[in-house]
Amino acid sequence: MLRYLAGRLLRALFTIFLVITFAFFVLHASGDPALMILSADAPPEAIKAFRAAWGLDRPLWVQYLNYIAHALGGDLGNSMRDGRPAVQIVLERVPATLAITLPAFALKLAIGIPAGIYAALHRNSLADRLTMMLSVAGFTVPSFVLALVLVLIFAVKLGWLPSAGSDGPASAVLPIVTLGIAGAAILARFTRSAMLEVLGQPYIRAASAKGLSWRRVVTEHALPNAAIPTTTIVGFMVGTLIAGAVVVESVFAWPGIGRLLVSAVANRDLAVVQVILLLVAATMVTANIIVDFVYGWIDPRMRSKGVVGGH
Amino acid sequence: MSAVTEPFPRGSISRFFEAWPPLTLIALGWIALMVVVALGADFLAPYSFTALDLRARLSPPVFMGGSWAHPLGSDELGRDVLSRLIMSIRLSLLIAFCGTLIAAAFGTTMGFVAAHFRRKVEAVVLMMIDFQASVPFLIIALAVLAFFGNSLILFVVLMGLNSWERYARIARGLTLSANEQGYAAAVRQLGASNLRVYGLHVLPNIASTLIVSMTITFPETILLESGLSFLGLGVQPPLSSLGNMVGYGREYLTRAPWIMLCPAAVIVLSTLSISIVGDWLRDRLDPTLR
Repeated sequence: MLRYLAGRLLRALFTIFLVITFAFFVLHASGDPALMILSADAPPEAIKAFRAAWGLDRPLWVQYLNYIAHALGGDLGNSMRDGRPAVQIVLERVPATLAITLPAFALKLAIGIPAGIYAALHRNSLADRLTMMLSVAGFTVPSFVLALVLVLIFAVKLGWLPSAGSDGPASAVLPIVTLGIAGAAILARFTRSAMLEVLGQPYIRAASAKGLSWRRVVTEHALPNAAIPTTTIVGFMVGTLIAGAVVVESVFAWPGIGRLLVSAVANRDLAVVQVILLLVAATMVTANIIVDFVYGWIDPRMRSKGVVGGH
Repeated sequence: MSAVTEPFPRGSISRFFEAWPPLTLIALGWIALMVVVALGADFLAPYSFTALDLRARLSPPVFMGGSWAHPLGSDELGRDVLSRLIMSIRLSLLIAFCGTLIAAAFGTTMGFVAAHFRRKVEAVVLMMIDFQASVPFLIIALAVLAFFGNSLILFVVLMGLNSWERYARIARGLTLSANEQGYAAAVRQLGASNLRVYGLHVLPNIASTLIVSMTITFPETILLESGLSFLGLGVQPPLSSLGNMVGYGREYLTRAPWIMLCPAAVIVLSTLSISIVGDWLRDRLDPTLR
């Protein structure tokens, strides 16, 4: 188990390294940042000075090694727009993003998992059909449409909540609800199919046949086994805590990472985009490792085999 | 969609609806309507999608008390919403269609390559799959658009790269098991080239699974395209896609909600219809999938 996790950690670090490299080369394949920032008709001396200042006049491999060395030291360059360290600019936005993604995550778990379990236990009932219909809507309604419809109802028509901005807890309600509803629908669907899969297994029938009450069959045999596939999707949701709100933050003018990313992309502030890319990859990779730990904890088979997931 | 020609032993209506559930028929009808609209956009649009009618700015649609001159209303510049909607449907469907084809073709090829060469090549493909899974594609797409700027071709290719890894995984897995079955070895013994083995023998055997996957990719691509266009980072004006229209309509949410609601409804109905048809196809073609 320990050896396996060490291997996972190495692979995770390798993935991060790949993302850094990807960012670097895409950055340099994309044309001359000096011309983009300063515009093509800037005086040649200015362009030369800009290149020297950002190290763009040196050979590519020197730039790459330099970049890696600096990245390892935690220095990922300065924003090309306002000159402050890009890492600082990005980290400033993390609390705002977490302020809506964490409550949304709790909302997803609180609605999605019980709804999925209930639907599976009452298969083909009215509640089941309703849950499934709503969860299909969760897959097919884009988050910006859901967000705008909620704004139309609760901000424009009813005037209960602010339509955008970030003053006070009231303005966080609509972003949280938007993110939460969509995630809950997906989670409900996954939980339901995981439960149905487990409930069809022979050991459930065996447990019922030996005279256990249905309640105990469900809580002691079905739920722990259904938790395994559900963990995967919950882990994925943990991974998107940082980057899962790009569209929603933009709709509600919420000053988080997502909105920063969109404006950095529009302004071609490459250093900031890179840092966000790296932060997102690091979050996803960390979430995957946590999921592996959780697997080992909830699934005794994994512990004895020492092999989790894999291809 | 030739439902009538389906032979039923007893030919009763109930049997017909068992094979073709009403919901599926409605979904198929909507998809057919969208395809007709996309193909015939030039003939169906009542106005040019850029034509201004400054005397009829922000006029409401018929069902909100407007006139038949602009059945779905008009926007801030007096452009006809119906005409813009028709053109946007065409572009959005075209992008989603091309994107899905690129994803399926590229992903399946990578899956074949991985399963054929094994060892190092396979490891590289699996690493690429891991990489794609490690970062949400919306972020990758935004990064690439930031670095390369925006062009329609690049955008379509990006849409195609969205879900290639799904096809690669499926194709690799199915090819590995196909290679262990007799038929692939048999045609190889007969001297068939690799291209022939994979193109003519393995591909038809895994086609149904790939087609079902395409019904998942297609709505995903519509959602991704409209999301990016909504953010102003996808399709660029003067071209218009469904996401652009919603993004533009958001500015007029209080005064003219129809500008945003019409394209939003089309996005939702289209993705919903394809999902319904996909579920139905899955049950018919490929019972092995969940």
